[in-house]
Amino acid sequence: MKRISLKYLIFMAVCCDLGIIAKKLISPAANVITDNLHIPGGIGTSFSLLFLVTAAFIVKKFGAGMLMGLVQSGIAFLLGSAGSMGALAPLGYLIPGLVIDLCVLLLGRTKTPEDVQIVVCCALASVAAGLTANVIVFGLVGPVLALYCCVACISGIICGSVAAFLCKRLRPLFAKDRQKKGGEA
Amino acid sequence: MKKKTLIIILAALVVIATVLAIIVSKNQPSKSVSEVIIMQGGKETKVDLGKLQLTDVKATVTRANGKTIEIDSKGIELKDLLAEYRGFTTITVNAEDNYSAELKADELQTEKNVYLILGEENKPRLMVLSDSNAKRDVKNVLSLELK
Repeated sequence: MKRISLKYLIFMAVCCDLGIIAKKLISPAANVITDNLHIPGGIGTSFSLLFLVTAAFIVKKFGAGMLMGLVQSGIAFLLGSAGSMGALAPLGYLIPGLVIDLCVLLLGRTKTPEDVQIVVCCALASVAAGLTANVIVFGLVGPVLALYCCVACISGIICGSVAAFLCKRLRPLFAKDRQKKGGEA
Repeated sequence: MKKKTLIIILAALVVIATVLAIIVSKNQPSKSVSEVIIMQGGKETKVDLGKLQLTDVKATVTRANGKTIEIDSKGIELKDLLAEYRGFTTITVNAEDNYSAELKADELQTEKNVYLILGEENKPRLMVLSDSNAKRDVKNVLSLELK
């Protein structure tokens, strides 16, 4: 991974914290919906990933997503909110981070508009997070698993739209920095 | 991929999720409100209080603040409910809100003292009539742990 400037690292750290806080804030409301749908989650994680996707698309470096996932898992452990995944919680954060990195890398090579790239990335990362949690903890099968993935994907698309909006607003702040350093982060 | 395609995908996902939610909710086993889980040595048994032969329970219970409440319901003595169970000395009664109370197995031997009655909305409620402060008046009982 190429070196990332301190400004970007601080921004990524802030996004990691915001992700954890957003998940905590939205969890009670999300649980009301998921309890009624008889699924173990899938909405709160998308709100957490929203900030990771925003940071990854601003920084645009392979490995940024995984680095933020690792930091988030550390914060979750320190705050005692590792959840039902226990010691395997870092995997639950690293795999969505890897998906974000792959999306930034692969979708960046296509001619897809960036806001659509962000939405697709957030949706795929949400589904990846849901599937990881399912393999590690829940072990859902059949229609329940399909519903779980669908809800994760829908909330991922909605949160991805918010991430695309955030990216659009935040990019000018970092664009000046890029220009000064000749386009390098 | 264009934004229009994304909106179509989102709409399709919402439709699929709605259909799946209907399928999943239809497959959910219906839980009776008067159901209690009896746990002993890792084994769980579900008992529906509403389907048992219940007797009238009429009593006056005094709360810690000195107020008295009248109990007029139907229920079963805990010793009758746990008649088939052996090898336990304490019973932990857990409520839906995580409140719990402990009973000694010896306390069950006193006649007409410890009852599991049908409380509000037919949800199980523990009553220990000999208690002077009603601390073990547990509403919405979820499970009984025998140790």
